Amino acid sequence: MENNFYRKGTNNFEEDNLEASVWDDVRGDNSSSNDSHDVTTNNNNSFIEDEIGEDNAINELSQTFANINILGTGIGSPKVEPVLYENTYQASSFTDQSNIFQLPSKQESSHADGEETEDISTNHELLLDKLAPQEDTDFSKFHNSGIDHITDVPKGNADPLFSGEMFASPLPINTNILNDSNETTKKKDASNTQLNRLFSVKKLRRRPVPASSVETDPLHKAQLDNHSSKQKNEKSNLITQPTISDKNSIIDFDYDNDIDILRKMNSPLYTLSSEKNSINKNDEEIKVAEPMEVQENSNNNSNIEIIKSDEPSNANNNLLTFKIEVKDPIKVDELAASHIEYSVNTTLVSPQTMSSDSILPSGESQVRRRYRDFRWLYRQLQNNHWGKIIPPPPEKQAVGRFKDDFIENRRFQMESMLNRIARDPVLQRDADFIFFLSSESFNKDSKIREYISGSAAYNDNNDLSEIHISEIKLLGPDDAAIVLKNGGLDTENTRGFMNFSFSSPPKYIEQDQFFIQEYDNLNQLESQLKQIYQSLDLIDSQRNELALTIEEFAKIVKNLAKLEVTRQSTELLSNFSEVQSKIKSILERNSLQDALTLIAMVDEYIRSLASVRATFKQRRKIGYYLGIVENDLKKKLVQFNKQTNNIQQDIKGNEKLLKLKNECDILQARRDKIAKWFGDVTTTIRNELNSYNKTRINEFRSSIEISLEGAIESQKECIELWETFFQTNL
Amino acid sequence: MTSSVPYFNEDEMGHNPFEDTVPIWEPSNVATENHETTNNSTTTSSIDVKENNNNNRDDINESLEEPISSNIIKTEDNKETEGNSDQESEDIRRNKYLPEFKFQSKHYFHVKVIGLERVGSNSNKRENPTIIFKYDTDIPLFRRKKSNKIKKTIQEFKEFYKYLNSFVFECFVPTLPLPYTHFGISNQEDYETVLYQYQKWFDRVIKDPLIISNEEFVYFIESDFNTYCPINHHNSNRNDLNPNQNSSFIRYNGIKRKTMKQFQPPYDNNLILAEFRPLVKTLYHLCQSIQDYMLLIDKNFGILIQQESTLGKEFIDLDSLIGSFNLPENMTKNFLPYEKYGKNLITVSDINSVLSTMNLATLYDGLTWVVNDSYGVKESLTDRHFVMRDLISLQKQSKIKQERARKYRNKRDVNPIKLDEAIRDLQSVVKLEQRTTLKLHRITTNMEISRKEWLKWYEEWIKHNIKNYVLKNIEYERKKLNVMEGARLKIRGTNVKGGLSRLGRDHLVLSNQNIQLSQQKDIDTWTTTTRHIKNMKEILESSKLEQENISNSDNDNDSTNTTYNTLCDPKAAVRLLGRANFS
Repeated sequence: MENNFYRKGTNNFEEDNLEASVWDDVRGDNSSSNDSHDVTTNNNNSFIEDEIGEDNAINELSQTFANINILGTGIGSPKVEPVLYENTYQASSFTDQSNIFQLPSKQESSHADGEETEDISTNHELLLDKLAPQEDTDFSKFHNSGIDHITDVPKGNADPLFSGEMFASPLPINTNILNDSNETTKKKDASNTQLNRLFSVKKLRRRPVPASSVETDPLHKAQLDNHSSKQKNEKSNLITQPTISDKNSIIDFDYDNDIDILRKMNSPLYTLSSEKNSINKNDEEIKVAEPMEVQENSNNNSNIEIIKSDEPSNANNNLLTFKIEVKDPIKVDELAASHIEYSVNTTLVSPQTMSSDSILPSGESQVRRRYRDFRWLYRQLQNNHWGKIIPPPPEKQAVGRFKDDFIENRRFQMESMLNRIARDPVLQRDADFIFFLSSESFNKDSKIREYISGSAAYNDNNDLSEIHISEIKLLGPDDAAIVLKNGGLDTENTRGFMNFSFSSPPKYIEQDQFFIQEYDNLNQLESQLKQIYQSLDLIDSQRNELALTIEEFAKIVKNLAKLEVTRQSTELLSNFSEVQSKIKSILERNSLQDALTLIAMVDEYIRSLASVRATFKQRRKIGYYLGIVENDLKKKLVQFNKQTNNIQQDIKGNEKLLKLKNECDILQARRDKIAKWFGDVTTTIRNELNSYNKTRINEFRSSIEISLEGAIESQKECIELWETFFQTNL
Repeated sequence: MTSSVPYFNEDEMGHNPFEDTVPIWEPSNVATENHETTNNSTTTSSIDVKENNNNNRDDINESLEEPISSNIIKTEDNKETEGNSDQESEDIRRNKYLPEFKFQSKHYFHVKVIGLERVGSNSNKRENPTIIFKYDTDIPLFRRKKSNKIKKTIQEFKEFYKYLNSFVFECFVPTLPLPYTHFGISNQEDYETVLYQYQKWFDRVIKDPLIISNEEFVYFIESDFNTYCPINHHNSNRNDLNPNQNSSFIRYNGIKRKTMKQFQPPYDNNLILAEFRPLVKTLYHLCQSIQDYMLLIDKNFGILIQQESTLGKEFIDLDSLIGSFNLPENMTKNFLPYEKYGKNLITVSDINSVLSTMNLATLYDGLTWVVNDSYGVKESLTDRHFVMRDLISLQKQSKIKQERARKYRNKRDVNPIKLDEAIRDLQSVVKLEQRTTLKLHRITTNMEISRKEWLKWYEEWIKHNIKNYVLKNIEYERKKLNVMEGARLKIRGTNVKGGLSRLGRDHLVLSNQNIQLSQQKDIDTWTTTTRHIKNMKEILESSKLEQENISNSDNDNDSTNTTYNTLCDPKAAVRLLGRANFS
């Protein structure tokens, strides 16, 4: 499968860009050998080289953009994408750049050049990504999972347009990444979803449905392609066409027996994209829905996407109301791994519109999940929404897992977790959430989803606040593959012989006063809440003990009454004892109520603080990566400048320069992506914190009110009890 | 020590030592003159006791002497009918054995406790306060028939009690109430409670004719402040004919008592008293364990209270902590509910700790008296057993001596000195036996009466304490409710939208003034039962009247007296509150 895919890619290259020993080249590049580059790269490079020569970077750049734009608008040819990329990039990158990136003015030109090169390098990276993993062990499991190579190979080869798709694929990614978040408009989002759609189509080898459509129906593919480029250019919202193609493709594909396996196989690449969520959603719906409904669903879905990305108020209006119950814990006995399974029942209460149908086709679902799966959901959501405070699952507990009250407690906590997720306008539409609620083959698919997203959801740390930053999400699938191959971002700077250094990676130092303050507050709050929790817990047990003592007391008074010293005293004492035992039950009820309101609240508060802390850590980690990459980039730029200063006109020098430039470009792109994420996460956290604090105060107040209200009621009951006793007996 | 199983009548015909038939009088072929002497001697001895004690008080001697002698003569007359004493009405027996009741009906003794003084060192303040009371009597033994201010320390009371307990076998001598309470010394409630309890004690004491007719009582009352010690202590049995037998009228103490208690109690043909002892004993143990549990509750409650107030403080800390953060927009520190809740918790826990003390002060202290008293009753019943045991041994002795005397008599050639000796022995034993029998009868009869009194007292006392307990509970639970509702208002105030009271009515305009407190002047909102103000007024008036009556009856307007009446008010108010709820 993978093979086919890459081969296809190379085929395309060959078709478009002449001969080229692509394999060798790319590989060589990867291993930093000095082999000649393939023609495409050369072409592009020379293109850029011209600009470098002219040194009037900005002017030149804009000119080239213009040129390319003209070219680009033409057709959805492979050459279009770098242009488009540049185009959107231009808008945002320059504004961003000045803020984040402080380069010496002397390097202005090279900087601009860097951007140029980056384009190419992205393509390049893409290629690399596609090609390199062939030997990668990571992907070997896809081979092993028993996918039908044979059926795919001819298809892939037979599809010339696919190459176009291949090239088109980075487009949506890049646009999305580089789009300023402020800029997002309805239309743009619409186009985004459209792009996703396209993206899915283009990645069709990995995905069952669209893949087959393209494979079997090149014409549709072409149509689609055209549409996509049109939409990009015109910013129009044409959805029907591709969905039709989807439908067709599905129907076509229905004849393919391997649909499930293919799905599994294909999905990874799919989700590798940065727009993972929306794609996942598509994915999800298609999985959930009957093939015949897909068209509708995907239609609806894109609608939802549009509305959702609109103003938050709009999103609120469209807020779905779930009714989620976690119940019926059943102990599953397995030899070494017995565990409790809970049944998760979901009903979609409102709005009963078409759009809600797409989330849960039947409006309700019932699945069985175990605790581990809830953790998975937490990690997955955490990965999907960086900076968002995810409602936390209960803490792990090693001993006493099968005690009734523990199970009940956990059930309650998990239920409230799901309900909280369901109440969040963003999280409730998360594909993984829906998947969690409805998937029948959770065990298999969840692992795949985890793998695709790189969330490491199953490498779950006990500490809810520990996080894992998925390189795949951070850098995009292609770059991430390289990074991962080299052992992650942090080890990247030590790679190679030449720039091997003993210097430790730069530590991330928090600059933002807001975050320093908030983090400090967070810790203080947590310790205070923990104290409160402890006190509440103590009070709870003390209350129960007191209740026990009162019960004993009531018993002994009853005994005294039974002694029947005198008739009247007997009656009095037995009534007295009764009142005492009633008071005892009031006390117990009180304690139970507090356990359900205040204690559960504080407990969840504490756990959610861990979740908040996780968002801080995410930001930190991204900041850390940013530091590393910037460091690398700086080094590379220095090298590059050195090289450019003593230009040797021989080929070897030129190649070296090119190579350096390439590397710079890669790093630059990487830096930009990370910086973008960093900015995004920072804003998200700020927004989240504000609403989080507000909700928390409100929730706390509510549970205080409930608890107080309960206390008042039992107080009244108590008074009534005593007074009745008084009335009848004294 | 449970009561022994009653004998079967047919089994032990004539062998039952506790049948009311006095066996010594049956084999009275000894001599009628013997009989006479015994009679006389008993009478005189009993008079002697009195005479010894009250040398210069002939009047009382007269009053006492006559009934006792006549009493005994009467017993002799009714020898045949005496067999079934169970059927004898209590009145008859009382008249027969307890002339003191007649004495009591002739005279009166009123006492009123009017004050309490706590002076000196801390422990003295606590353990040994001074009780101030006044009395009014026509008992001839008293030199002063009336006094308005008598002061006695608790120590003196204790001495007096010790004496009574050791020498007045016939009664369940009321134990002394605790001189302090859990209210803590030197506060109003403590003052009132101690006063009330000592008044109760006096009431019980003067109800018992055997005690007020005891000259020791007079000594106690008439002695100067802080000088009383038992006067009859050593000479009470001085005139006993046989000094060796004195023990039968002295309370066993120490190890001897403990050992004696281990024996199976003698058969008791008085079922009522036979059953009473185990009952009282169980009561004693139960009350003790109730007290233990109350202490345990108090301890646990105390911990809970402490934890709650800690929690309250933590909430207040949380408030200031969150308040120091960057609050979300549209929120100020006033919007935080934590501090209000924390304060509420602290106030409630304060009230709880007061309530916890109140619970101890009302029910626990009350039970202390029950425990002490039931122990005293039990020991008195044990003493009765001892008397019974003594009687058995005396009866045996008299039988032996009778046999010996008869033997000597039948022998012609017996030494007349020996015979005389034997007869004298027999006479003295029979005398003692008679005395003991009489004593036992007196004890049994009086105890039956005392038992009724005691049960009545127990019932009243338990009721009184539970009532106080309940009233305190109601009072403080209501206070708690009030505090909580106030806190609820405040917490709702932190939310512009009105919090939970909105109940989803999003467009309802809420103002916090709308929320009513659930406790109002004449009705609680959660119940339909109204408190009738009219009735309350009546009660108030009646209680005022009562108070006036009391103060009228006290002709002398002591400052202490008036203060007592005015100070009585809060308590009365609580009582009114309680009663007012349901009338």
